[in-house]
Amino acid sequence: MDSGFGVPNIHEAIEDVRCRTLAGIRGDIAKLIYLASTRDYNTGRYYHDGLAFRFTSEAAERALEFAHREIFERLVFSPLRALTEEVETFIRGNHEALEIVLRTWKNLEPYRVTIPQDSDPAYAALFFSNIRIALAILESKEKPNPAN
Amino acid sequence: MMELAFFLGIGIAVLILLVLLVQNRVATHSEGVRSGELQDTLATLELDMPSPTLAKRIFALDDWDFVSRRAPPAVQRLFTKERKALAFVWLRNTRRIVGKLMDFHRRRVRGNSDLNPLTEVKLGLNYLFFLLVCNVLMGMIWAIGPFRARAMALYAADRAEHIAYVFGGFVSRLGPAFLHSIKGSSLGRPAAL
Repeated sequence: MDSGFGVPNIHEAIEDVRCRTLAGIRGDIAKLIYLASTRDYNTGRYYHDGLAFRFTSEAAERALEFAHREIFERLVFSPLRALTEEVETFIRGNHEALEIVLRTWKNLEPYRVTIPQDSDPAYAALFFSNIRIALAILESKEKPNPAN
Repeated sequence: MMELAFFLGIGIAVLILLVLLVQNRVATHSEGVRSGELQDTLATLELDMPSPTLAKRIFALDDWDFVSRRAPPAVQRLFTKERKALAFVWLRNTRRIVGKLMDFHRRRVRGNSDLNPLTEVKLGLNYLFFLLVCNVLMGMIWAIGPFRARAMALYAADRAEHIAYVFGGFVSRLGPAFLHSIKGSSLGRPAAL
């Protein structure tokens, strides 16, 4: 994984993202969504005023990109059981009815926009598939269907 | 009948010889090509590295155990269907990556006089054997599903990685000047004859 060598303060910026920016966010799914939200949908560039102020805009961008890829790959290679727990933790922490969130995630598939740009297509396919299975497991747990 | 037995015997002997040759790990990790170095070399040449880690995840038995214990049959069927599709994607992708390595080797590396012909033959046999394993695996995934084909899939992943290391060994022996000349030329085009 490219850690952005050549950009001044990049390692400090990555540590700052890990230890300060992401420290208060519970669970890797929430962290992934947060990091994706710091990215401009039109340009694919990452922005964070606080980080840019402490380091430089370039260091902030590279650090967020690095952290995004790191969390994404951790989730891709998580066992399905762990990923299902992550999804459940995120959804239950949402203050919305589990049923509504499950239905929305199933229909709109918002998790598709959470992956880093230029992700390996095979990694992306495995991640999407695992999320779909996790949602199906949570749905069956929430609403047991005797016909199954 | 005797003729059939004779040719069958020869066929088996050739197959055993082929397996022994392929199993003989030439120019692998022991030749000093480290994983990081290999990845850097492949990145420089705009080539990908086959990922055995991804295979381990796609064919992971703990995922199947979890789904079979925790999910109803409909979800189990969905899971098997999805993993089967992923297994095919992984296999096609791995074959494409290794195919590109071999194509690059054929076009850019083979003509170098510093190469050992025996090692060259072994690389070719490794590639043929890898293709054979891929075809068998394709049939196994289709027929018995990805989880029962796990051992064969991990074997195919290991073969793919082995070929990448042999290729990396070749390139590293040719030295930085060779890499530099490759970088300086157009990577996508065949070498001038």
